[in-house]
Amino acid sequence: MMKNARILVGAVAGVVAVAVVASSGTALADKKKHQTRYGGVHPVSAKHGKGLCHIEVPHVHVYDPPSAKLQFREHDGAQYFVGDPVAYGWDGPRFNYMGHHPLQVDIQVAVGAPPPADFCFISGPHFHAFAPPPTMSADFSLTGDAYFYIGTPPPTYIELQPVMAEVDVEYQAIQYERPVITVTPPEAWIGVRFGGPGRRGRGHAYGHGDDGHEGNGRPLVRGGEVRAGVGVNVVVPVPSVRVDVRLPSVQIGGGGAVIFGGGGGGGGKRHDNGKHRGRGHR
Amino acid sequence: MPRASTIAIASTLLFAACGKSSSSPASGSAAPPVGSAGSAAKLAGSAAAPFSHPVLAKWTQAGLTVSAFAPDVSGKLGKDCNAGTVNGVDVVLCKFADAKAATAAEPAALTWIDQATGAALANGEWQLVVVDRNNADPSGRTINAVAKAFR
Repeated sequence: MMKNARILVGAVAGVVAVAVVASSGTALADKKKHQTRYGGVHPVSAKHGKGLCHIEVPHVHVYDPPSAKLQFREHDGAQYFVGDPVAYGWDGPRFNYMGHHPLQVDIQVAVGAPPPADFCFISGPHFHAFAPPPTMSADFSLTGDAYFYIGTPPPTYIELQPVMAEVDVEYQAIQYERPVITVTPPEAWIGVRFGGPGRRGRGHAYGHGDDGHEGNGRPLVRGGEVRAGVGVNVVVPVPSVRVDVRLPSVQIGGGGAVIFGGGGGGGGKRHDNGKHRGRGHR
Repeated sequence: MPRASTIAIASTLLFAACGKSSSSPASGSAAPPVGSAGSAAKLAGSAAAPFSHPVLAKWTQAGLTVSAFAPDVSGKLGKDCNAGTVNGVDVVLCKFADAKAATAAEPAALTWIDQATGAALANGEWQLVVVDRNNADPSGRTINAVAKAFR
């Protein structure tokens, strides 16, 4: 009788032990992270190492994209980064863009049929790792070594712009060298026709005037030139352009030429609202 | 009575075995990466001719450190696979019957990659699987170089 009881207890203990092991295995399985597919290079959140993942082909990680809504577009279950890779450490080929524009993320891997065009909502001068694809090139003007979008944006662009303009906030916190664009914007540029980049005037300037004047966000007129001391609200006579640039030195010359960008991009100074004091150099 | 205790022990072992078999052989760290030292026992002997693929030379020319590749007979990624490392990253090259089969093998490869950074790419009848299980390539530059040379 006693032996039977001992055997029974032993068997039960064994079963319980197995159940505990099995349940802990389940718990471990539950902790497994899900794979996220990426279509090309992309920034990595600080939690997962920071910087840029340089894999240009489809790949997987076990973490989600940072700022997915603003900086990534999803296609066929994969996340595609549509922001400025240089801001995160990209040192490969780079192409200058000015303001909002459509893009084809798949061009980074050049495989399969082109996906529907996405839109980049970064204001002002910025980089991408690719030029506009041939299917879109007619909608871009390569002016002054920078691509200006001169096509007609889809209705979704108008709808999304107020929300997606928040992407500029992401870049305000990043210090990096943006392209310097010294050109007359094409009349058909989206920044002219739609109020374009930063039209809400967030005052993202970290600027300094080239004349020692304290910037006030308004253009300075001197000898037929129009200059914006701290790089906000630049106005070109005709057609009207209002450019919100958060970088040093925006100038509009007599011919309507515009210098965008350059410098240390942001430098941690933001929401200037044109109150920043000029530093007296270009 | 001894028979009863034998039954109890047997039942315990049976439970344990079931618990073990319930986990996927291709998932988690329990599954040694193909081509790593842990899977060396599954590699065939050295009697066969050395593995050769044009991409091996491309990787070397690109300045990558390429290990010897040996057949992988684990069957996790395919029947005709060879595994090695490039700059410390595990790499497997598998040959399939045709391009369609190579492309169709991607889900299995992603399952095998599991909890790591990796990529599975098909090029013709070949499939490349590259995985960084030991964080040897945090920037992704090695995986990128490996993959781009393959394409």
